[in-house]
Amino acid sequence: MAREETLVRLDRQPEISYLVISMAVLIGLALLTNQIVKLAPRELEYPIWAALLGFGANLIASAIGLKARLSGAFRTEFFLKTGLVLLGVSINLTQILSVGIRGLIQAVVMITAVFFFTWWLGGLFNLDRKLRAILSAAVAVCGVSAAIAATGAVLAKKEQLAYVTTLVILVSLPLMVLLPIIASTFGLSAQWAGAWFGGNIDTTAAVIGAGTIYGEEAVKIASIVKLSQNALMGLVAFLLATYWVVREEEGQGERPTAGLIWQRFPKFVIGFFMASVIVSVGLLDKQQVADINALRQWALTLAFISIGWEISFGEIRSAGWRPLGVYLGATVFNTLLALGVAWVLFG
Amino acid sequence: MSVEEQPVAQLWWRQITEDWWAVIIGGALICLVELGFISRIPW
Repeated sequence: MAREETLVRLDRQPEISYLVISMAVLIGLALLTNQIVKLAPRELEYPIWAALLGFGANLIASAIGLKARLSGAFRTEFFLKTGLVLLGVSINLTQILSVGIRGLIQAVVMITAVFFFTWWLGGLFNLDRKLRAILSAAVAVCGVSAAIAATGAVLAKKEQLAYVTTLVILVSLPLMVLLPIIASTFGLSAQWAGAWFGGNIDTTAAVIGAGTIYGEEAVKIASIVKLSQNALMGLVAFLLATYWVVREEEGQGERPTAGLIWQRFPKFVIGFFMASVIVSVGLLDKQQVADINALRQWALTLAFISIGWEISFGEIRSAGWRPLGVYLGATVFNTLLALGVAWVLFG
Repeated sequence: MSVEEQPVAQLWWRQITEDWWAVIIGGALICLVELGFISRIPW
């Protein structure tokens, strides 16, 4: 028994040491990003430097065959959500409510239109119905999280989820850089631009990145609009699961209960809201808000490095180019529609 | 471990856990700043 325990411990040792190395690499890259931002010209903001450094480390680790072992500390979603909770202290509750109501209207319009457009386009390209459902949820709601929720709702294959996850990251990162440039070229206001980024870019990390590049006001609007969209994820998962059981499986599967809406609700939104309440009731002074803003920038830097680390091209080659065509077509539709809807509500 | 090697339910569970951890860590950081244990964060 004791020998078995020793063997188990020895077996775990490399995993723990790789995790420590992984954390050291991540922290090193974050410190490097911080130094580069201080020295480099302001045209390139920290989300871009962080993603580039993460991608560079990803290429090196892949080339020497260590990427899988060193991935432990690169947790995009965790760092992003922590950063968003911290972002809550920069936004007053009245602003959340005022922007949030318009954000919810925009989210309902965008989710409905983009989901059905992507579903229709997927049919035109003759894609598998489950893949169409995941793609539609990913483009319409909030990228990776929505793709996972949709995969659970329609019981799709994990390979299909892996493929969509790769697409979301590959398409979102260029948009994170391009959209602020386009918005700046056409002189969009911070409100309009923020609402456009929040309504259009699929993954929340890239929305926050684009908003940060455009400015402090834009990142506030972008985050509220995107979180309004995220908050509807539970409802979308519930409706999708119900439709799947009733129509696609002709009532054969287990019908979902309304509890699914809460199960799929992204709980970090509560943290974001609570942080805003804390600052709105005057519990933090200016210096403390500045300190929390600095902590937020560190958390988001770790998230952007992680997203660069997660980029992978293998899935695209294995799944073929038709789903990529559908995803890109849906993204163009999403981009143009979001620009118009954001103008009506925030322009 | 990449996404394709993990069961979907496990991924979803990881997301929920990360959501709550983000609230706990974010909330703890805000409290530490509010109580004066963390200050003058460099960036």
